Amino acid sequence: MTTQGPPIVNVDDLTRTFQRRKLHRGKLGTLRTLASRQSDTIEAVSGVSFAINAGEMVGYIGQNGAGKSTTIKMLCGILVPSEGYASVLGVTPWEQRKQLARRIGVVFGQRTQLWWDLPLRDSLDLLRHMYRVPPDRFAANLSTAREVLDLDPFLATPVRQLSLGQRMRGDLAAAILHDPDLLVLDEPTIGLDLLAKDRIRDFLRTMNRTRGTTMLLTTHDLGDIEELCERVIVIDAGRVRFDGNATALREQFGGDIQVEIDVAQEREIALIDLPTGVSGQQVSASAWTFRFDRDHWTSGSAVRWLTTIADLRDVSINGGSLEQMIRDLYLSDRRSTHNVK
Amino acid sequence: MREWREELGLAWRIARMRVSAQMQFQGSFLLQLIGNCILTIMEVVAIVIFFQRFPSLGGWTLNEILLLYAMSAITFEIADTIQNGLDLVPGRVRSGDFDTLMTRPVSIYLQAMVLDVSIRHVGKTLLAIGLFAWAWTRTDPSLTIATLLLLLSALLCGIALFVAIFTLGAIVSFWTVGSIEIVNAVSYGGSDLAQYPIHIYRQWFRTVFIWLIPVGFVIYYPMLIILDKPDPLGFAPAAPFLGPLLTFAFVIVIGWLWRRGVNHYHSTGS
Amino acid sequence: MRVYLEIAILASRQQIAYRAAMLAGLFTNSVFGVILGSVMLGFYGSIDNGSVNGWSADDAITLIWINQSLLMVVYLWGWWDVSNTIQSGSIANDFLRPISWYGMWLSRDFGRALATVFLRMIPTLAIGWLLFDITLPASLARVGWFLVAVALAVWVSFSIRLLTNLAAFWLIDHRGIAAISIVFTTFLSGMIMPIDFFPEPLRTIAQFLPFQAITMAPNNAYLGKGDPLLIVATQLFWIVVLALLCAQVLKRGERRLVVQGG
Repeated sequence: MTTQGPPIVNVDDLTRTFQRRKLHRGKLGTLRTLASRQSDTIEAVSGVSFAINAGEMVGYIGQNGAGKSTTIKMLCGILVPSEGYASVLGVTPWEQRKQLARRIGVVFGQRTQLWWDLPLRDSLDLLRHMYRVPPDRFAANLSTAREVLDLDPFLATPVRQLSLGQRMRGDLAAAILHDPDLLVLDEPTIGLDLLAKDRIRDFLRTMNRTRGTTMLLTTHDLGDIEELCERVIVIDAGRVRFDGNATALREQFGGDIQVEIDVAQEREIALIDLPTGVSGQQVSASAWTFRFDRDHWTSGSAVRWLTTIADLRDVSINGGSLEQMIRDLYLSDRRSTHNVK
Repeated sequence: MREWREELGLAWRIARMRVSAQMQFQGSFLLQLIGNCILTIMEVVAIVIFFQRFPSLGGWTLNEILLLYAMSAITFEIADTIQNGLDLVPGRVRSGDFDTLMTRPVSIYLQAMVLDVSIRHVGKTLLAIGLFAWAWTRTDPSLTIATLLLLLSALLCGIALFVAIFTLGAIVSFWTVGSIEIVNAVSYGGSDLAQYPIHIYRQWFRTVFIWLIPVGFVIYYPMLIILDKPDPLGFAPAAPFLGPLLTFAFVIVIGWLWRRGVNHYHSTGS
Repeated sequence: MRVYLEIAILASRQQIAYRAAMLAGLFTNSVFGVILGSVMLGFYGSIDNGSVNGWSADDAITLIWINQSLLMVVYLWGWWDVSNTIQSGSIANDFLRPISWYGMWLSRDFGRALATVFLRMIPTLAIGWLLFDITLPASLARVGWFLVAVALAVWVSFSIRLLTNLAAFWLIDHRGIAAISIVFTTFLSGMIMPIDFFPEPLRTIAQFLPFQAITMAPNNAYLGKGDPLLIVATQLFWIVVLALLCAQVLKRGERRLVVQGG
């Protein structure tokens, strides 16, 4: 659901460099490192530009260290950029931190925003006062959160005693209580099992659908992208590599489809005369791995074909990895620039 | 202005909630309280024992020292209660959890202060107040408007001063990893030395704790004036004004350093 | 025997790795040395630097600085290593090792203390000498007795720490009670003032408690007060008594571990 109007988030040539002390090696290395003033300059984020419109759900993906968290921190006002400009909800984040904080919700996957020693219920109540949420809005939001995220079993438990999944749900509930226009999530499903991930993705979808909350989420989990985002921005080594439709990305660069099968009866599967775009390998007496390239196959057609060649007892589909996808992105970049020349 | 009141109200609310969460662990809380009280009692007993062997300390008698000790303890303990959360700032800066303070529409300093509230200091504070009252009856100074003003000034400036010193520990952590111990030495040392007459200390030591970190002016001199003790250093006439003035200056400097520290965090992350 | 030496050396190295923190701690020691030393001087000023129960002003001020220098060496407060192993259950693994459990922990503590002697004790004494002109040991023999007393003091303090840690077998909140006991320990060991300053029934009682073996004993050895042999013998006596007590407590604790399943 996307509405017209000026972009909610506007990022223009955002750059962020860090100084890191040059590590000296060899004899007296530690001493020289301490004494030297030389430092390496690391460009965590380099000339990033994009715009997000109201109601969009955008995935900001990249490997660890690609610059995702650094970008997010700048958009929340936690970090100041070295160069460039950004505007979130009409405000420069690092200059008007408090104003912006009132209108956005932030969820960090790896740390909690809740008060550690207080019961979850108290944290949420505190936020009601902090964000000046009208009682009726608070009641409505709390009830939605309790229902979709199933908070009741641990509403009275101190946050420090919650499991990772419970804490994430608590953080999510906390983030939407004040009806933020923009929700920023930094690795919201990290470390969670599949069931927990599903529940959170479901909640985010609901929020976006029923309230039109714009969402920007960083992740290195392709499943998040598949389930949530129409649009995807890929960042690698501080630069934007791709900004566009998620399905298109998946189809183009998602990497080969990998399927592992376990057959009911041990038998030889002939690995010759395979159809185009298929390769296979035997792993053990009854287990095999097959790879299908995306030019000719989809997950569905791949599994269908596999059922014709063997009696399948177990099937497991791995949809390609992020690393592979980014590698393929690079190659295609180079290929296209090469062609342009 | 209205925003400040609102934020203070929020900080108070957080503090209250933290306290009731802690009170649930009644056993542990009670034990900490008792432990704190026993420590105080032991210190007072030590002073009493000293005075059985020695007639005076720097010209001050037992009851006068106890009054000074109580004043120093009250301001220090109240300050320690208020700023308890600041002890957690270095850890948060190191781990990056400090970020979570920046995404809320509330002053970062206030949030930092209520990161932790420990009410075990209440025990020592009440004991110190009791001691103060007891020593007051023994020393029997004259109760005038001037006396009350001096006491009020000592209390408020003392609390502000100690809170500012504790803040220094948090500020330092924005730049370096270690070094909080040094700030602790200054704050606990500062409160300790304020329990005794300033003129017993060496010249160079005195200078630091009279002019730089004005504990001397803020706590010692008001009590000296109230008890009408001789003033070997000669600052008594100026002290009632210099105390608040120097405290104000100190607090301003600390406030500026805090902002610099937060800006530094903004530009280097964790 | 070699194993224990290696454990001690490892612990020493670990302590040396913390030298930045140790240096900062040196500052703390010095600040309090100055404050308490000045207070002592102030008190003695009121009796024209006379003597109290055999303690001159110089003696008393030297005691202050020796106490500050020994603070981290004997490490009276804040050591919870053993109770941590009890709470985590890893103590069961420690019992399975082919070396003496007591010996292992003792070696670690000695290693730690040795490094601290160089990083904290000696520098603090040097600063005390510079700032307050504290008395230096009158003879080489005194230095020897002092060092022996320090080593034994570490052992006594270790034993007491061990006992309070072992309380973790029975009490969940053993730290609270330990914190309270530490207040008494500190006072009775002569940290705040020489035991000779105590009023009468307390003074005699304190002489017969193990706590005086922790800081009072090294002080007396350094300043030449009392027969050094007697001082050391008393320390050894307490070491043996506390070790026996420890063994008993440990046995009861082990039983509890087995019953509860760790």
